[in-house]
Amino acid sequence: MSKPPKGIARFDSAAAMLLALANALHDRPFASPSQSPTLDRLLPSLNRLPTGLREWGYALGGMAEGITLRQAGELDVEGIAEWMVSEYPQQDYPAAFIGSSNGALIHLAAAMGVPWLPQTFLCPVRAANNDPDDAQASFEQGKEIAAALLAAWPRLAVHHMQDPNQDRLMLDQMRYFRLKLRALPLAFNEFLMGSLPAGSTLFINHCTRQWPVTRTSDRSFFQFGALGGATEKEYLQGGPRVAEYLARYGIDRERWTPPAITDHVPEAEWGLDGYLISPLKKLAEAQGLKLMEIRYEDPEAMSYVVAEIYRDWYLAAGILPTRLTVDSFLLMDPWCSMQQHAIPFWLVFCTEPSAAALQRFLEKQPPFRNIDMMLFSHGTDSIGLAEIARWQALLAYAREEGALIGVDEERFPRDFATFARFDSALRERAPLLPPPPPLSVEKVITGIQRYGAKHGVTLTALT
Amino acid sequence: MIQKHRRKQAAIVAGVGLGVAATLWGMKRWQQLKQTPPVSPRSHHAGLAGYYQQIGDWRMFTRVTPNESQGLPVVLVHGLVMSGRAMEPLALALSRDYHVLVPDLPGFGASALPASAPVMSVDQLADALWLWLQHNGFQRAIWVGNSFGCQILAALAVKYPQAVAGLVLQGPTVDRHARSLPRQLWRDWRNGRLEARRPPGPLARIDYAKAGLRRAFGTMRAMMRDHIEHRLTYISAPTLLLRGSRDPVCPARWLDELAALMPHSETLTLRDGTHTLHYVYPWSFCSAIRPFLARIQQEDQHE
Repeated sequence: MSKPPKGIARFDSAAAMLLALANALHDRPFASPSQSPTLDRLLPSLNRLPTGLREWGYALGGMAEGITLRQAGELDVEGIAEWMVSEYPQQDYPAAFIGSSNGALIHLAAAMGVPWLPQTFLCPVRAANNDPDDAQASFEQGKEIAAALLAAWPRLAVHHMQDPNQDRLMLDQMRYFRLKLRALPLAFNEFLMGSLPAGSTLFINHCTRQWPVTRTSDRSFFQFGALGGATEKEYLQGGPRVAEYLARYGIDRERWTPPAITDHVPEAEWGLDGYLISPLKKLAEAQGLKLMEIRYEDPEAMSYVVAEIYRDWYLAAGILPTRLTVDSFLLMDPWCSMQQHAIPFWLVFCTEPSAAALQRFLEKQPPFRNIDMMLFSHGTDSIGLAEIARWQALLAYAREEGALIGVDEERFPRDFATFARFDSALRERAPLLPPPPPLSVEKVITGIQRYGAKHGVTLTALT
Repeated sequence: MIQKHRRKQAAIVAGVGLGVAATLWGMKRWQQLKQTPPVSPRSHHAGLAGYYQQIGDWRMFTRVTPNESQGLPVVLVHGLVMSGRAMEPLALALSRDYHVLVPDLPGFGASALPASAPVMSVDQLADALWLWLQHNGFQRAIWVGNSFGCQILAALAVKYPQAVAGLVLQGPTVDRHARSLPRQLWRDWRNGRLEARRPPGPLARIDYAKAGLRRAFGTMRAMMRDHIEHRLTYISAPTLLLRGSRDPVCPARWLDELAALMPHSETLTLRDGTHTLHYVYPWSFCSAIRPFLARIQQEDQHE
């Protein structure tokens, strides 16, 4: 695994999921999301510091990922795309996925032994002394950076994202830009043409989740808030939970005042920008590929479907799956889940809506003997954060043992060492056994068709 | 005092010893590179075969794809001091539809010449290609060249127009506005930075070892002296001029100048492509030139 180039954040859904899958395809665990042994050694020490210093250390680590305004103008999108494809083994694949980031989809791709290329990635840009709660100022100051990014690659959509609820620590010194590729970079084109023989299947992963935004140009948007614990209405209009949260952090505001909403567009992190579909259709026609679109609104809908497909996959191989592994945001290891014959269930974040999704899943399933659960720490007592007790209550659904994996319960949600710890802790939970033979494309298609309807996931052939 | 003198002597001996060891290691490595088989194992598994032929004074090596389809063959001509090895990915991408041949020019790759043999000029290399085509039983072909290969193909198309059904010139050299070795090397270095994730460097090392440094520098001089812009006006074959949009070696302005010289030419820019397009982005290269190749094949059938 090589170090990602400047301009793409490692501690983000796209880069981490890509690495998790690439590691699985190379037949090895996803041991280090940071890709840095030094940082992995430092994180446990960071955990021992008092809360204030720990938060500061976390923000500092994030800052190291950021680029400057000048670097934003010279962003090498082609180089980032090159890095993404270079992580996967160079070989022929029976299928590939492209589009929205989704943890459940990563498990599906890992079981099939095929790659996924992200449409979106996070580009954090350094900006000193921000007020995360001042949406208007962020909006105005972000325009210059957005313009630089737009000029760097003319087929990029730039979503400036400001979420003072969940990204509070990072936003002090940075601005978040989620960049969506509206056309295929040459490296993607090359990878798909070179590794998908005629007759292979290309799946577009299309999350239709939208978010109200302020449009600043044809290709740039300002999104206030994000999918997680608080609702759209709370971000835009406030409410008792917002007032309480702001008071807790000593902010002299009742609510946030973002710029006026002018449009609804694909959500910055999870949604798919439809511009990518047309070049994919052209590619599929020229190369004789089957093009299929997986469509859903709620990212966690895929988790239910993939869990069912995994169960069938294990049963067909004569394995009775009794273990459930619950992923949290980017904390996942598809290689390990397969080797432990565990059913994966991916959660978007460590918030109440995700906890509720897991509860709905557990209530309808025959009880699991073991439940292993990772918990992502974002460093903030945010609105809608599900506390440790809530997660422990869900673990009680296990017939024998439910456990939090690599989590320091006292320090959550400021348990930053979990990034370095979760994978080795997960691997110790159960013996690692050979997984069943790779899941076939046909099984995936019939699986999505069979289980998708119940959860709002559809599959359509586009060619 | 004596001790100091001894220490100095020991340091000199150690330094010389290290220098000799490094040189020996370098020579051994150089010899190993020379022994590299002409077709890479990956391409060999994909069906690419190779053969040697005695052509005039030279023993030439040719790679050939398994597709023996009817129609004009497509011949790929490599660039400066490289060999057909760098063309293998493009040959395999094109082999789905065409019969592709990739010769190593005399003195390069597996068509190695002894160091005592003279360095060949652009015209002599074109003559060699013409002879090679006849030896392989073809009258005409579609020729695809990269970089310096374009200069040889331009010479071939002027001297032997009957052998050229169509021409694809990708990243033709040498830009007349930067006709000096330092400027060309600087551009080449900048290009290398853009191709850092899939560098053709390891291949170049093999080919430099096989060609030898004397031939490498001699051919560079021949390349600099040759003016492709003085030949293109006389080419009658349909020509596609292609460049990658990020190619620093062949700037857009230079390609436009060349296109203006050729009445039967069309230009194409591959978005985000670099100079070693045939090696770094072979599939995109293939799909970009496929319509042109198909048209030439069709026209040839009508004739």
